[in-house]
Amino acid sequence: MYFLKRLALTLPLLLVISFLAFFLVHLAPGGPFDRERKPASPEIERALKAKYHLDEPLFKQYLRYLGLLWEVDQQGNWHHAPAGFDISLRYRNHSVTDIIAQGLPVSMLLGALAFGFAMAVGLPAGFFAAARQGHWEDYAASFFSILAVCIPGLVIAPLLIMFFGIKWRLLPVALWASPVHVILPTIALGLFFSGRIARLLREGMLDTMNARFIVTARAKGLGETAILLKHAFRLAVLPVVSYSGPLLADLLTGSFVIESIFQIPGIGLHLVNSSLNSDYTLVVGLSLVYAILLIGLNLLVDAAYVLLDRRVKYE
Amino acid sequence: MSESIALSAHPAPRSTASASWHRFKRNRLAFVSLWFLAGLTALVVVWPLTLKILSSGSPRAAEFAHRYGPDRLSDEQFQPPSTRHWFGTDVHGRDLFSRVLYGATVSLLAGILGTTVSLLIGVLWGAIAGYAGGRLDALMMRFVDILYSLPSIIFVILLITTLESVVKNWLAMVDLRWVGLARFLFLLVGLGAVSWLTMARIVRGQVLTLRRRAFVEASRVLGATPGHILIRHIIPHTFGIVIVYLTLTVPGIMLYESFLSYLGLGIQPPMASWGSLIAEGADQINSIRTYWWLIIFPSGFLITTLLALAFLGDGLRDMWDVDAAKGR
Repeated sequence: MYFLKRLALTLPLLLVISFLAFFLVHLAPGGPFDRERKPASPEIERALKAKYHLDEPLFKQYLRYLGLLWEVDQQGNWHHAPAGFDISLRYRNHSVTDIIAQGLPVSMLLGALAFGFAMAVGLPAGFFAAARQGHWEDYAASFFSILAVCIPGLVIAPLLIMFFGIKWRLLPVALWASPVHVILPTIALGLFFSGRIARLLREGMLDTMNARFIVTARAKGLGETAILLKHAFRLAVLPVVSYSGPLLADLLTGSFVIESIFQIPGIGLHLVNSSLNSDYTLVVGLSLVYAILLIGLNLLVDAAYVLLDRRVKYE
Repeated sequence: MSESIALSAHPAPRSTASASWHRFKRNRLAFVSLWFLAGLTALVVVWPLTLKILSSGSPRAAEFAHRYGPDRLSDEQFQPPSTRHWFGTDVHGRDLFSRVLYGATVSLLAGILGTTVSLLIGVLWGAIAGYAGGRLDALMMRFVDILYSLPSIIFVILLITTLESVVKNWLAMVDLRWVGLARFLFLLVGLGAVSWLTMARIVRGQVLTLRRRAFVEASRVLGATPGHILIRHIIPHTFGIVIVYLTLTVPGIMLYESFLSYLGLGIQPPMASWGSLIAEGADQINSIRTYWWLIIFPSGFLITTLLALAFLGDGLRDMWDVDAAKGR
């Protein structure tokens, strides 16, 4: 019931977000036609604006964007104005759906791989650090995770290229073609988050290991491995789970830095360029993609909470 | 008499503040980090001052200041690190050591001031929402939720460009030099404006529990106004958790600044920040020759500073975490 209610709230929320994004881009100075060949004359610019209805009042433009506008033509007949959300104002040969459909799979694949990498490195690192608290394994893993958190993508990506791509010639420097091309961007994108995840898990583990039910399990004579894996991990992973909702939404919608350094045709580049170009429809479209991912993933996270921790109940 | 005996039997009781400080000092890494950050700040302040003083001194001193001027172009392009140029030189023959230190000013300032902006908005927003409760609380927190679901990068870009266009013409009339400064200020505002959301949530959570505490009720009964209660009683009690979260915000904002400067939206050349220096270094990577110093030194400074902040944050958290300290 709770989840149905949340699901029902999603649509109004998306409307508000599209409204906000729409008004914000229109508020920003400049227009979509500023950066191309200078319009030959003010008349041409005016004609362009009229063609894309940029000369109308904002609210009318928004209704047109949603496809909720009916107009009267010269004969006095009402008819429905076609929805404007699919027309990219900057790349006028492409629709917004096209642009997103081309970039999103690439970004999603890279994001999913980076997420997998972050989990595959971060979870074991955090687990062993907590299991061997105070031993050298803890110090090594903790140092690795704090270091990873302090190295941003725009530092690690050039370094990886410099060593693996240019110096040792092991891996391709850029582009997105074969599975080999995937390796460096995945590491560059995922390393930071592996550190975050390791730190979160270690902390969660250390917190739960003092809980009463762990003491009970120990008193029952359960082996240390079983305690850690079956009982402590299950609760300690909760902060990681709730972190991975927004994290995945961020990763799946691409990273501008990684995509521009490795020349990957993803959606992260559009996210930045569209708002720099005032490509109104693309900005709102991309914002909606991000919002849908974020809301959906947060729903999944909350559902996962119920499965992992039976004490959690929503009403 | 009996009191002094009791006192001498036990170690002198410490005040909370001094006990906290003691706990903090026990954390070696945090302590070293604090010194590192202090030293870096001192260097960042002293080096430009030295250059300025020397440039008006004797000819030899002036030559020294001239050589290390961060914006001075020369023919010594892409010199590797040497005794003459400690960190080497860049594409225009500028001394990288100077540029890294001048860039540090921008990066550190962005981190500190951007955090202050986010702190002000976040604490006020969270405190008001949490204290007011009811409809206003729900409304304010839904607003935070909505901003959360907007990609922050779009928000920052739009905010910076909008602010800029509004003030630019107006500033250009006064003095052209102000434009660069104004742009930097907008960058800070933009950074703060996207970073206050989590702070607001944390503060609101704290305020919700504080609101029901006896001393707050007492103050209310005595007729204190909501503003007085908020400022005198509630906000000071959120400081502990806020300061811990701040040490997470500063690196976050520094990273964001480096990202925006990398995009070209942040600091404008010839000024530099660590982010723009790294971007310049990354541009020079090619298969014929690698100018490794262009990327290693700015990144090294950025990473070390972020590490120091992270260790400092851990230390501060242990310092305030009285329960954990007792358990030890």
